[in-house]
Amino acid sequence: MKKSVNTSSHSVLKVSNLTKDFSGIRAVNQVSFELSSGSITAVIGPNGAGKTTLYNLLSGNLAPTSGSVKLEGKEIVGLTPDRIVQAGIGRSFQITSVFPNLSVEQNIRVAVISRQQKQFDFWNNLESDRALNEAIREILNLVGIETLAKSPVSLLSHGDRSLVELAIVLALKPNLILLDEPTAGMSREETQRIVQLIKHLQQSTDCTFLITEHDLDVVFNLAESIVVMHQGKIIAKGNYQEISDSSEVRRVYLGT
Amino acid sequence: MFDRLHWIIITISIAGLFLLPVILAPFDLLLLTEILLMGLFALSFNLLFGYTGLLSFGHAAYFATGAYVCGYLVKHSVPFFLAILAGVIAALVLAAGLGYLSVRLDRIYFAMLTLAFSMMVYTIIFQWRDVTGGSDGITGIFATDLGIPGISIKLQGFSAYYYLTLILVAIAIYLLWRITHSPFGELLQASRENYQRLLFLGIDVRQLRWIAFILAGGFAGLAGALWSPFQRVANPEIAHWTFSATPVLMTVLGGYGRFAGPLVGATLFIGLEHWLQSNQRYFWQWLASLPLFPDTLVERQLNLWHLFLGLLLIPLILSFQGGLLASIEKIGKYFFPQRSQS
Repeated sequence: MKKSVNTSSHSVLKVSNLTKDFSGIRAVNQVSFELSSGSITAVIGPNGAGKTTLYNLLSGNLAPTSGSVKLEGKEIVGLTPDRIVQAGIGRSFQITSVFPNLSVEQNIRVAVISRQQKQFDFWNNLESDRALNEAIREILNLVGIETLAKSPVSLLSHGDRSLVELAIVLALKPNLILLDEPTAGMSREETQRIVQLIKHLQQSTDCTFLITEHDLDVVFNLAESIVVMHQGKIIAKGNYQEISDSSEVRRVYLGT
Repeated sequence: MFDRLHWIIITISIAGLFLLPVILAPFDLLLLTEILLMGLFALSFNLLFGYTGLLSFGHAAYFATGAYVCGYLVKHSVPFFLAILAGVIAALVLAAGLGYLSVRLDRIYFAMLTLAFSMMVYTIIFQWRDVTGGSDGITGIFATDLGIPGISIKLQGFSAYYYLTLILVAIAIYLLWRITHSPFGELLQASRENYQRLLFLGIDVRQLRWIAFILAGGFAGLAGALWSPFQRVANPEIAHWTFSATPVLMTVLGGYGRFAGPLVGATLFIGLEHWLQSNQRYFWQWLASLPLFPDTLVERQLNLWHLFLGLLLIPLILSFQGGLLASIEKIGKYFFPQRSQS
């Protein structure tokens, strides 16, 4: 359950006083936290707590009203989403977002083209590009979806589609991965598969994960630190023990 | 990638296109030149429509720019090859400017904006009489020599111009093929599928679309630059939005989901058009044989081949959904099920 503390870990992401107002409603309120490299952190909280807004702020989908987000010491507030990806943050969406009419392989290829900075290659044939093909193969193997390579994503099950989305995010080789409800709408087997995969990825790469998740079993199984949000504010953060000891958390979740 | 069948088809087509002037009548060569030019126009349109998912309803603006700039320069004794180049560059520049604004929108808004811009171009062409000849257009555009210094390449006769067109269009088609099968081309298709996902994969999608728009404008400009010396005239009709509808129809007819779809569509469309123009009397005879059809209409024999074209296109488009080429492939798969789709 407990993961040995990595002595060389440093802060990958530093969020300070991040705030977002929507016409009078403060969706994210003075949020501050840090993520250390190689860690898995979960953001939990009731619906409407501001988790998805927080994600949209971190990934550049929304501009914050105030506050700062530093990735490896560099300010990323104000950058467009594509720049933030290039800086090293990849994200998934709560509602699975892929390229439905392209094959699994093509989906991953798009991400690899971006990663390898080949978007202005107008000339070379895709299918004979060895560097592209090797990177695609590597990701297919890593996620375990080699057998699906040629299938159009639109024909896959919801669980497999989520795996494809995870695969294209991984293909970017980001420093930090934001996963928004990665197990939403999945069967127990599929959930287990995702959990195992994320654990495996954490051990085999130096990726840092930030996950929102409503399934608390998944959260306690995966995350070594947890951030609890309520009405836009962080009401507790720490490990499982610290969270469950918090009277504030118990009040929000259990009404006691 | 290409398998053997593809190569055989391509080799035979190219060899056939080079040998055709030997056996064809001059009129058929004109028809073939027209198919090549309109085919390139439709292919350039499909870079935006089929690949990028942007329905441009103003693609005629770039075709007309190429046609007018080239026509004007040829008329003023600029060497033909330079005039072609200038036509292409003018189309590229115009596409860069109008595309920069157009790609900010998508779906119907993109279609309407491109249509509005093209009608601005039409109005300029129509009003700027001193340069464009207004409603008469630029007439008497004769390109008799390619004009490359030191080399005399005469363009008199139908077959010489046909060969010039064939070579330039073949090069352009090859370039388009490379582009659509390159990493850039793959990203275009991804942007058609899911704009947001591509943006969150680190791609500046607006810039991507802008480049596609400029390229599409450039290839349309080349088709136009070869069009006006071929027709000997550049008239404002080719800037009108109804002309923008032609590549749309050709592409839908041939199939926007296949690289060669617009070429097949252009061939079918122009073939039908000419066949109807010369054979519409049979339609009138058929109409006259219908009971209750007013005889006065038949006697007047109005020039209504457009009506007959429409009547033929409706069942064609309805029965070949996804385009003629996709339907042929489906039939091919039925007979040769072991061949996998490349």
